[in-house]
Amino acid sequence: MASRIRALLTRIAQSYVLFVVVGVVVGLALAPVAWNATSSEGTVAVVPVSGTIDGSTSSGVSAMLQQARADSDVKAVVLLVNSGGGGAAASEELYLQTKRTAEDMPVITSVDASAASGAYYTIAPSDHIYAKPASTVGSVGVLATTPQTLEPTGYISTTGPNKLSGGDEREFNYILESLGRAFIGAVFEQRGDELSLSRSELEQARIYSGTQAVQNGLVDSIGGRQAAVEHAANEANLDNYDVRVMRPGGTSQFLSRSNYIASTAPNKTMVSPTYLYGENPSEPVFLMVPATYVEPAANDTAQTGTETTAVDPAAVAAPGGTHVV
Amino acid sequence: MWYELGKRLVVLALTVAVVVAVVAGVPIVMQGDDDTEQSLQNPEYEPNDVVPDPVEATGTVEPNPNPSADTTGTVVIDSGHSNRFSRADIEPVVDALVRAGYHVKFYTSGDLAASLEGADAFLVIDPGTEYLPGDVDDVRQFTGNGGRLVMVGEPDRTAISASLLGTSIQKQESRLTTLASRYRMSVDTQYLYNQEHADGTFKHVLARPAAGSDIDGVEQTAFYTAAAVTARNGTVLVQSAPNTHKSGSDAVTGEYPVVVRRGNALLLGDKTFMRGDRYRVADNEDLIAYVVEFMIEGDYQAPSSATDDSATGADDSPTSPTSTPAPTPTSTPTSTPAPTPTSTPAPTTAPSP
Repeated sequence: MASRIRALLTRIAQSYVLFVVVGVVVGLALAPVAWNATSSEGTVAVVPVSGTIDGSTSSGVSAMLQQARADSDVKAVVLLVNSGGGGAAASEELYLQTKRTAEDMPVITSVDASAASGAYYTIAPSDHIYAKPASTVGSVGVLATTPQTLEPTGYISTTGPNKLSGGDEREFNYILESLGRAFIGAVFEQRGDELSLSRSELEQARIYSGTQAVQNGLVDSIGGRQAAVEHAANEANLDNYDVRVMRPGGTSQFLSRSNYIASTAPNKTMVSPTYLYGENPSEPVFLMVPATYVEPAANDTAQTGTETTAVDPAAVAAPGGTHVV
Repeated sequence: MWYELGKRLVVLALTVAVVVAVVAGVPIVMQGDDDTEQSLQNPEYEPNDVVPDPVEATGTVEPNPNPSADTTGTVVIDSGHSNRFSRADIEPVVDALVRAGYHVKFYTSGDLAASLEGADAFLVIDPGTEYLPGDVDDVRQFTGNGGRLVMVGEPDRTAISASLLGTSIQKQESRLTTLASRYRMSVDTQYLYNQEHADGTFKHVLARPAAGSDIDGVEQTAFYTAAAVTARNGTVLVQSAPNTHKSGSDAVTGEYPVVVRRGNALLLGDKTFMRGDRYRVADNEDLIAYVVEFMIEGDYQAPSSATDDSATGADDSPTSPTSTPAPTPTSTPTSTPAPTPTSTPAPTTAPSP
C-alpha cells in the first residue's frame, strides 16, 4: 500500500500538470494586481482644502500637493475647496503651491460651499474651476486690525519711534495696500483672460454666487466633484484612471456655518473669529477672509438706544477699526 | 576553499556597493527635480508693480492773508454742539492762527451771539447735535456782518467705543443740516472712495482744485474718509479726483466737491486732512493756509441794532455786504455741479455687501 502511494506521489511530482495547476492558481490570485497595474494609466489625486486656512492647513495641503507632484503615478490634481480663506501668509503659500503644481500637471478645482478670499487665492492658478450655484466665491482682498498709536509712552522702552507699532496708520495702509495689490495682481495673472471684471471691480471684494462667478469669469463652469475629476482625467489624457483622496490630517476649523455644514471632512469643528485675531488685538493680523466671517453677531444683544448695538468685545478690532483692502 | 570564500566575499562587497550607489543616486536625481521647481517665477509679485508710491508729506502751513486783513483778531471754535474733534485735529490750524497773531477761544454754551461778538471767524467742526434756530440766527447775523463761518462735516461713519457694558458700535452723523442749509449748503452722508487716486487706501481720496478755484499753491490734497459737499450758487474750490465713487453707488463715478464756498461761509467734507499727522500730506498745508486766510480775512462789524433783520434774514445773500476785501466768489450759474455720472461697466453682481 505504501509503495503504491509513494509511486503516485512520485508520478505526480514528475508530472507537469501539478505545476501548471499551481501556476494557474497563483496567477489568478495575482491577476487583480496585474490588471490594475496594466489597465490604469494614472491617478487623479483629490486634495481637499477645507476650513480656515492657517499654517496647519497650509502645510497639510502643501504636503499633499508635494506628494502628488513627487508621485509619478499621479497625473492630475483636483482641489476640493470648501473654505472662506484665513491668514494672509498661509493663503499665499497655498497659492504658490497650487501654481507650482499646475505647472507640472493639470489642476482642476471643485468649489463646494465657498472659495472666498484666501481660498480663492489658493485656487486661482487652477486650469479650470467648477462651482455650484450655491457656492460663494470672490471677496478678493485683505483686511487687518489697525495698529494702535502707543508712542510716546514710558511704559515700554524701544530703540526707535516705530518699534511699538511698526509705523503710523497712514504707513500701515500702504503696507496693507501692497498686500492687496499682490493678491489682485495674482488673480489677474492667473485668470486675466477669463475675467470680465475690471481691476477696480475685483478690488471691491464682493462675494458672488457660483452662477454670477461664471458670468464674471471668476469661475469657469457649473459642476460638482465628479465633473472636476473627469475633467482632470481628460486633461491628463487618462482613459483608465484611479482616484486617490489625499486628505491632510488634522481637524478642519470653520468660521462659517454654511461651510461647516457642507464639509465632508471627517474631523471638523466651528471656531470663533477670535481664533484669527485674538481676544485683545493689539497687533495687525493680516487676514484673507470675507469681513462677514469675522463680524460679530451684532443682532444678538441689542442695547437700549436706536443707534447703539452691543457686540462681542473680542470681535471688535482695534479702535481704529478694521481696514479692508 | 579559501579561494571560493574570497569570491563570495567579493560578490558581497560588489552587491553592497551597487545598493549604496543606487540609494545615493536617487536623491541626486530628485534634487534635479527640485532645482526645476525652484525656478518658479512670480512676475505678479514684481515689487515695482505691487508697492504703491506714497504721496509726499512735506511742507508747512504758511497763510498769506490779504494785506488789508487785521493783524490780530479772534477765531471762535464751536465746542457747544457735541463737536467731535481732538486737539490733534485742530492744532495745525490753531498754530497757524496763533502765528498770524490771532486768538482762539471755544464756545461751549450760553449766548452764541455774545461769544461771536468781536470775533472774525467761527469754526464749526463735526457737531453731534443740530443747531437750534436761535443759534442759527446768531451765526447768520455774524456772517451777515462780515464774520466768516467755516463748517467741517464728515460722512456718516461707525465708531467703536468701550464701556463697562462692553464694546459698542455707534453710528455718528455730522449734524450740520440746520446750520448749513441756511447757507444753502449741505454735507452728504455717504463717504467717498477712489481706487485709483488715493493716499494708501481707497477711503483716503485725493482731490484737486476745481476750475476757477482761487486756492494758491494747491495741486493735490488728500482727504481721509470725506463726504461730498454742495452749495447752491456757490463755488467749488476743491473736488475729488476723477473716478471717485460714493459709497452705496459703486457703478457711478465722478469728481465730487469736497470744499465749497458761498460768500462768507466755507464748507469742507473732512476734518482729518488738517490733523497733526496728516496736514503735510500732498498740499494739505496749502489748503489749511487757505482756510486760515479765509478766517483771518473776516472782518465782523457789530451791527447797529436797527439793522439786525437785514443781516439775519437774507438767506439768499451769498456775499458779505461789508467792504471786506475777500475774494469775490465766482458764482456758478447752477448749483454745485453734480458729478457727471460716468457709467462704469455694471457689476455683474448683485448682492449688496
